[in-house]
Amino acid sequence: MQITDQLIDDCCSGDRKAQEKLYKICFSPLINICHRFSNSKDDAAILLNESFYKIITQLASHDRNVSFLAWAKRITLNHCIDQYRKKNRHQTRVMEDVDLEVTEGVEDEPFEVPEKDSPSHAEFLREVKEEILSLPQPTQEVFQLFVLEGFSHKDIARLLNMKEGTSKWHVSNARKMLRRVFRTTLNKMSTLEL
Amino acid sequence: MTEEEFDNIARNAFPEEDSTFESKYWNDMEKMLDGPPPRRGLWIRLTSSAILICGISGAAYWSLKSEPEAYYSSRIQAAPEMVSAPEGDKVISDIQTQESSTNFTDASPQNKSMESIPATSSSQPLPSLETKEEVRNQRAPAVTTSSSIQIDAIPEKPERTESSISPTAPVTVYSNLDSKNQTESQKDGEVNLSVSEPMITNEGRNEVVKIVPRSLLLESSSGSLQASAMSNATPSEGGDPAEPVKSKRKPSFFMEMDYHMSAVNKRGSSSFSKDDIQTQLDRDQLQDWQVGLQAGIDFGNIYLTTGINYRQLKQSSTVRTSELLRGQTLDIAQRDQIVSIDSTILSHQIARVQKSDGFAFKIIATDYQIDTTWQTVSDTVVNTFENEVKNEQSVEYQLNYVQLPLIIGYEKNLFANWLIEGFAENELAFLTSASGSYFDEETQQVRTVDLNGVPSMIWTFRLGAGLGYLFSPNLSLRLRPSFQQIVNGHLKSDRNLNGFNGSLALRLRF
Repeated sequence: MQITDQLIDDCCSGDRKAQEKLYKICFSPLINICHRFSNSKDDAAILLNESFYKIITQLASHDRNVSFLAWAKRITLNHCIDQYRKKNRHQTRVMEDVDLEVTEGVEDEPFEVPEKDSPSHAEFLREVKEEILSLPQPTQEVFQLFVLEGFSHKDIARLLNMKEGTSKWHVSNARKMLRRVFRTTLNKMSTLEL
Repeated sequence: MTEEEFDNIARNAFPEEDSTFESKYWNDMEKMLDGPPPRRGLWIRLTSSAILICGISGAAYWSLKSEPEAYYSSRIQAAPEMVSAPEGDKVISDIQTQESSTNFTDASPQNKSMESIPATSSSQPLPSLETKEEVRNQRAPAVTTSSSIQIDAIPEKPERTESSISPTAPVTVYSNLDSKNQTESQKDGEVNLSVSEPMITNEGRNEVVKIVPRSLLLESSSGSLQASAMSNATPSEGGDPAEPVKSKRKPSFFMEMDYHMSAVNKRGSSSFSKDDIQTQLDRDQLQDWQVGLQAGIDFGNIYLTTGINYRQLKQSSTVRTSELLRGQTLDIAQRDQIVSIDSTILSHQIARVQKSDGFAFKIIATDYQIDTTWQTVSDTVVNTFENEVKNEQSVEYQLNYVQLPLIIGYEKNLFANWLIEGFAENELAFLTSASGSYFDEETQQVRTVDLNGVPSMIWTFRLGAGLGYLFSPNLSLRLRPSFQQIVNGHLKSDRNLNGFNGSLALRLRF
């Protein structure tokens, strides 16, 4: 099934069948994004439905020169980030304060990722997930689109209406911030193990 | 760790989940789509309020305006006999019937009503138009006015009247009708009514035309005419002769469309340093503009205005970062060296040696076990290097507001067509949308503007003066330089949006 201009026009005019068809097409790629911000499929589906409602109501503003799926992914991603931030605002602030203190002076220290299938590896990945979701909104948006969705910098620049250099800057910035946090996390874990 | 390995860690943190479609999710979605639409935004509600305010203002204006018209029209119908005049008096009942066929071409409401107002003989308002030519055509003109025109109308704003009279050629009257400046001289059978300041030219006929406001009543008594004053707002049947005209001002309404622009001097460069990252921020000017439609009420020289504006704040900046990446390469040369050698005698080889009286034993060889301890020694040479990584990024943000202004001002006429004014303006701007990115100086990060990072309301106080030009009594263009003081900031990290600015306004008075 493909998303055609005719299908989008039908959705714009409120054709429920067309909307259902579009929903089914978009379900799989969009719920993957929602899964990153939720713990269960049902929670992810709630996020997806909220995002899809936005997509349907803003369908008229969609620029036909931009891929529909990319546009829909962007709306979904932004909605998920917003919801995540609303839910975790307090916790995020506390974490940021702590991290700033801990990360002082540890940037140059080498670190090793725990081996796969080890308990500490799963714990580490859980921490990584939390930290990626706690990145600043634009940086996270670009980072997720680039690393997790596989968009090119050129596509991201066109989608987010920014320069390619800006997109690269965000990805580089995200890596830098995450690198610090990874080291801190690993240091904490090793301290706990001892 | 390479970037690819790093990205793989990030990907592994989000494993693939079950993404198969289930119909129950679409059912939920359908309920959501069938549900009531979300509440309309603030912008819609504010616009509706403004339209309502304008509607109420308009209704109030029309209700006030309709009263004097009804008054005059009822008089026209009720008293046609008033047209007859005593003998010897020259009274012209209707301007339209004049020989000189004078036409009033001014489209203002005051002069429109003037055309249909009847003249009266005694103790009635006498809207008459008399010229020397007309008087000569009458046999016995008891009144020999020297070319006088009496216009039965005083504009609601008596400081300025513009009318065009065209008997055969257009006559333009610019008059500053002020009752205090009126003089009158009266003799038997002759009345000379004059207004001190009117500048009247009849280009076609070279006549000198004088203008008398409607409030001066001609009264006939024994062949003489007297001028009496009468209030414009409440015309009465009788008037006290020679009583000065008291003009009672009525509030008038107006609409105003204005465009306001200021370029707050936020241009400049700043440098920041954090860790090994040098950041240079080059900001352009902050553009602050607004456009709006306002309704106002005018109490003489003081006016009060309110309405609705759209306001936009916009600024672009360039962020240049220079990061010094320090690294080290190690040149390692390794060699092995013996740390220790341990030797142990394992055995002696003994030989029996024949001697003359027997034999003897002699050690001919010894077996040793030698343990050699080797050590690898590394000779390390540390090479330190520095790389500078530069990056440039353009950021721009835009904040949109709906604004409710409240303006109180004082205006005063200057010369014929100019006025000056002073005003104080209080504005409440409500944030409707925000987009773009900005450089947060506190965290030294480029951040996306979101509604949480911007005050939802800006309170602006503005003091200014203005110069206006009147194209007509009802239409004026005003240039207003002012100084604005913003009480709270527009971005949490960037306060002080104060400075000089200016606006251009077009005011239409009803």
